Amino acid sequence: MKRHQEVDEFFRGKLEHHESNAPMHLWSRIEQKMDEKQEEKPLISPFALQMLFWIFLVGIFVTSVLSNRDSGPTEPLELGCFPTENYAIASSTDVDQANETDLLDANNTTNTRSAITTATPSRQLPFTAPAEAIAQSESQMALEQGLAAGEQATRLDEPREAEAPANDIVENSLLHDVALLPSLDLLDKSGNRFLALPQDIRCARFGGSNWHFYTELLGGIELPLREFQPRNAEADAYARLREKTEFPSSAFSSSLRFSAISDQGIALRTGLQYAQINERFSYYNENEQRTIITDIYDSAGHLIRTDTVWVAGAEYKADNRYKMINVPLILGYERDFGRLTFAMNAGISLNLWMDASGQYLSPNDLQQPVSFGSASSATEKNTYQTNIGLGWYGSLGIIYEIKHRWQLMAEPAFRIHPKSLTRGNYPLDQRYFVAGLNLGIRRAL
Amino acid sequence: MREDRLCQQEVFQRYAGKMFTVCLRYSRHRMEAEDLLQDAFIKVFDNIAQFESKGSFEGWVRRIVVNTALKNYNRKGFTNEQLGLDNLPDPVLEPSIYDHLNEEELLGLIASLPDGYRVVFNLYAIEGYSHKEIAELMNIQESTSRSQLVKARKLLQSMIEETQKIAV
Repeated sequence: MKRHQEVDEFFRGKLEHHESNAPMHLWSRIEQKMDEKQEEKPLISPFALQMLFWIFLVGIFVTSVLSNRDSGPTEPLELGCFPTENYAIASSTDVDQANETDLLDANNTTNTRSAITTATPSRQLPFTAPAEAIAQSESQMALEQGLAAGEQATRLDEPREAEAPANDIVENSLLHDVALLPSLDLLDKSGNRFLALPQDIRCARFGGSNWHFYTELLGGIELPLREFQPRNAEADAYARLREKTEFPSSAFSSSLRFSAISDQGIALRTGLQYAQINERFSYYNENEQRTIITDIYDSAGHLIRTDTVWVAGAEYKADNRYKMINVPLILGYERDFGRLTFAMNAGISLNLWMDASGQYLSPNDLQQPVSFGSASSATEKNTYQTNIGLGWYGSLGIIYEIKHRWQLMAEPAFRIHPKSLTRGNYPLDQRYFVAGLNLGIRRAL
Repeated sequence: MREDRLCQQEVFQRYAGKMFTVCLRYSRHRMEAEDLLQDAFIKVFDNIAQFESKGSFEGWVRRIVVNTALKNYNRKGFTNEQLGLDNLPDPVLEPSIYDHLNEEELLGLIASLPDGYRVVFNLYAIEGYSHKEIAELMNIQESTSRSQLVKARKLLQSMIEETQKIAV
């Protein structure tokens, strides 16, 4: 044993503070490497690039929504029967489309005539389109002929037939199948001019999209994947120790979201999410010795003796909790197939609040567990951030309509927290990737 | 500081000699030691903002150098070298035998050790780590660390004996 120590001491004594002649050309190599590293650094960080990508995507979406709003009414305009003076219901484009249909076919004219005779002027729908284009020559001709047919019908039709609902009569008419028709500017019995179209005609839609609004309540279990990254070379061993003593056990989240979904399937979602990651701290310190003193009493309650036991080793266990409140800002797309709807979502998860509590091995004394979080000492209290900023969120969704307005949701999702949960002065970065399955319900508003 | 090349050069010149010895102790040859020194100093300059001025700067730099050497060693993969030294009797060396050995020769002896022996011997005998810490750092069993150390010592002693015989 002594000989062994001699060898160790001899080598230590000779080499511990020995200076060799370091090749000075190494400095130029180091300089060159550092210059290369600086040149390799991207002008824009990956994080900034991701941000730009999302801003670009949201920008395109907002622009398209706004441009749709500018180009026409957002409410679909249904055609029906309503009085007219110098107004027309169709734009020049619509008239051109309608001109392709032979409205003056002999059979159809009869049906049309019947419909016209029973149609009552109605103010069911607001109409604000300016008169235009209807005065195009061909349309004008059609109108004039239709007007003549209507007048004839007024004279010839039986009263019973005249009372029949227009909807029944036009059931098989050409008008029923044509979504866009040139208006028939006719006169009723009192001599008022009106536009006649069947009431149940399939409505044409003009302009932009409709938005449908939903509230969504989701909850689910998650699988957390953790990464400890030493911030300097000397923290390597500490990172490994924490890996070995803290085990992710479970995670869960619940969200209340508000979604706006357009007719085209574009979905915007936001809300509040509570997420919690649970870990188990378990450490056995074999070098620690505990003294247990037990007083032994007799039946009369008199102290007989005191037993003192020295126990080698100490086991520490604790439940660590990382709690977060996030605001998801999600852009998605939905497509429905009957009662089933499929969705995909991507976006950011903005952390509003974070709280961490539990125990870990102290970075200063690797064998000593210490508490962190609100109940801990001033130093350990400040280990974790109270806000971890921006994260990323992605999910796929399957939605099933169970009854009118109510839908069940299943949403496999992931969440990435690229920013460390620990503060800058702590030797380790601690990051999470969380994946899980959310189940929930949503209701159309 | 990080961007200040003159300061960095001064740091390099001040500590390069001592740190090069550390690198030589963990390397098989001089070229490997040069690569280690280069990588370690780049890490030092990249992470210099992390130095909290609580302990000695030289100690901090030395830990980075040792960690760089260990990473390099772990990258190569740990091989549990067996040189059949179990039956080799412990050489009995006179204390005077050490007198004629200078530092360069000692570095040469360490460099000729198998990788695992060399790292364990350095960490235990010169850096002062315990077997438990070595096991953590190298991802090996404590018992492996102990046996590697014993074998490293035996091998060094027998090599010293050989050099003595040649000198005589």
